[in-house]
Amino acid sequence: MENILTVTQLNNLIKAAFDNVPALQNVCVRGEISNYKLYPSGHHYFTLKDAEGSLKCVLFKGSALSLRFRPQNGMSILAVGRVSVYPRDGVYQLYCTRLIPDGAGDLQAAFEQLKQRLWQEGLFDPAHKKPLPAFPHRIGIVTSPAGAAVHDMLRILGKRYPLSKLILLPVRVQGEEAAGEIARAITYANRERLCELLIVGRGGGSMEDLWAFNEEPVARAVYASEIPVISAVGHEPDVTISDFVADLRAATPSNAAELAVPDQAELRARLEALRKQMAAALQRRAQQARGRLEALASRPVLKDPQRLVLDRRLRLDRLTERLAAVQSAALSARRTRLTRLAAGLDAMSPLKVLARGYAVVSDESGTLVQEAAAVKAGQKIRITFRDDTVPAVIAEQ
Amino acid sequence: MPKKSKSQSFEADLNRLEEIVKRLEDGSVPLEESMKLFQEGTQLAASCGKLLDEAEQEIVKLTKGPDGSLQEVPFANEQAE
Repeated sequence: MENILTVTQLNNLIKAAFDNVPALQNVCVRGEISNYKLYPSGHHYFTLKDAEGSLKCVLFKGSALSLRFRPQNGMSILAVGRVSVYPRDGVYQLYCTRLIPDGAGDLQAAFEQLKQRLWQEGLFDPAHKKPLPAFPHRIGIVTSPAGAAVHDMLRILGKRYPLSKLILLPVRVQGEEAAGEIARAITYANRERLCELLIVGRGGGSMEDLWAFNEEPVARAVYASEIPVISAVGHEPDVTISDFVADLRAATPSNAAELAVPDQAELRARLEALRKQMAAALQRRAQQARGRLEALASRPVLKDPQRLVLDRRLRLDRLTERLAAVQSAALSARRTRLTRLAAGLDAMSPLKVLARGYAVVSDESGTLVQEAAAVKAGQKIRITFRDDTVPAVIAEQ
Repeated sequence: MPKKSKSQSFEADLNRLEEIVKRLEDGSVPLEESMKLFQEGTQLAASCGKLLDEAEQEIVKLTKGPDGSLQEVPFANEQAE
């Protein structure tokens, strides 16, 4: 043997096998109670028997709270629940969610049968359920226009959210015709796109009174509705098929009205909160801007705008000074050069030569005579002395 | 397009108001635009409050008319408090 399992592993395998059979997840079994025991923990343990077989059953404390009778040995009941394995004892058993006295009549059995059938078909699938609109602008109410339920709903809807338009689709809510009327009203609302939300329901009553909401046409119309549906039938403990199919189950019609619309008191509080948030945000924004402004203002340029001008003026002055200095230096250099040149010029002036005792000879036309060979005897010449010019004649050559 | 119902206006205004608050809280909006948003938001909050204050619920009942078609007729919730 290669594959040796522990007992626990085997039991868990078997449990997984049971849990994978959809038909075992929601069953309704008829049988007789025996070995009934209520443990101090609040859990109920018993065996269901018929002529040939027996079945271990447990009803946990939580589910037992909704029991409307005391189970007793020998009592014939319908037990609703799922079958699974209890690995510790290696036994399979029925984990009951509901016990119904068999004497309760055919209605209860029909209810369980339809519920089981529709459940298997997927009509209760949570994935199919649509979210309700946050603000239903138009609400269709499929109910009797005469009952107390409609008035409770209208009153509560009006008190909570008076902005939506309420459209009453009057139907009978009990009797032979009721289921058909309810189903047609739901279909009509969808065809006409009458509203964004439907409330379908009625006030409390006996199981027979509420029966229309356990009928298949209503269940199918609710399932097919593209408009989200709130089911609001009877009082808190009353559960109908339409409750399972609807997108939301309300415990009562009044509860449906509360679930359908936002409460204006809360809306006003929200508006106020938004207003405060907005003011706070703006204040923060302004503070942030002020912070930036102050940071900018503290920069020298803006803090002391005069300074910028002064700085520039100083620079201008310095430049002007430098320019003047450069100019005067250039000027004086030229002046010095000029003086020097003038002095040179002066030194070379013929007048200065004459002053030293020299004389200049020129001919009668005024041309300088620079060598002796340029004159001949008898030629008239002019001799310029320091003080004057006098005529003269060359005596001999 | 039919005129917006009061409930539709309310929802639209409230959504816009929430958007404004979100933008203001974001802090990246220029100050001048922030002031404009704040002003718009204040008006929206006021108009939402006014819609609630002045709301008069419309209640109708669908009734078969003479031609067999369904018609809306006003419905008085006479048992209301």
